[in-house]
Amino acid sequence: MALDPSQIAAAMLKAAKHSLASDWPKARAYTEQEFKRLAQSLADIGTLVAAGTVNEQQARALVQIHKNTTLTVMLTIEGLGIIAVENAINAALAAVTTAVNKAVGLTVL
Amino acid sequence: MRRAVRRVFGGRGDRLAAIALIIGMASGCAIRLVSNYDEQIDKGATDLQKEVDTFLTDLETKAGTPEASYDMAKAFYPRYLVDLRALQVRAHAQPKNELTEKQLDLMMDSVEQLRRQHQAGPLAKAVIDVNRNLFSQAWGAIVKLELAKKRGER
Repeated sequence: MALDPSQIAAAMLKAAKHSLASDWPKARAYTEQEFKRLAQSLADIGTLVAAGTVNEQQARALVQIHKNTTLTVMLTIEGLGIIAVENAINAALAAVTTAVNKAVGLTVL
Repeated sequence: MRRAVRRVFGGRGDRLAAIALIIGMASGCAIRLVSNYDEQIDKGATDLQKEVDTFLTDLETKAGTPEASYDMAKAFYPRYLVDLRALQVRAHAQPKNELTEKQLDLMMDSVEQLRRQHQAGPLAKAVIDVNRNLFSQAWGAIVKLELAKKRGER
């Protein structure tokens, strides 16, 4: 049985889509949850500043911590995305292995 | 060799053989875009989250008293930064770990910002609570990313 590049490509795409379909919802759920928490924290900081519970120096420092936390969360979201892509690529490569072995009738890969 | 290739791949053997060979080589190993999971970073991050939470909770119970003042509690900060730097060294030793390294750099700054808040005056309970939430969220994000690196276990 000859190798058919279009069949291999279809198998790769199917594997990659399946992998991404599993990973993206998890990343999205995490993103939504964390953005809600960050929004609440920012609102809490606003309340503290308005009430005079923090002085100016403390307010600046607290806002900086909020900014750092936001960036930290964003870096995790970025990482989840990269890992999702990595999983999709590896799933596609695994599909190639299966397709090639099936086409030649042997386990060559 | 050419005869074997033609037998397996048919008339268009040479070209398809080249494609198959390249794909085969590529298929031989999984790609890695992010570093592997590191149990020590996972555990270290969890421990440091607990440590800062303990510190802030202790401050909260003492809020409004001299025991919660910066002078009485300032030994916490350099000690904590030593532990945090140890984690940074560990993260830096892993290839393709730039995201975690950046997160730990941000954490270093957050600790300094907490110290500045504390030094600038007594911290009210509500202020401590917001700080605690932010530190928990940041450490949670760092642990989340580390756990995501556990391929094949997700």
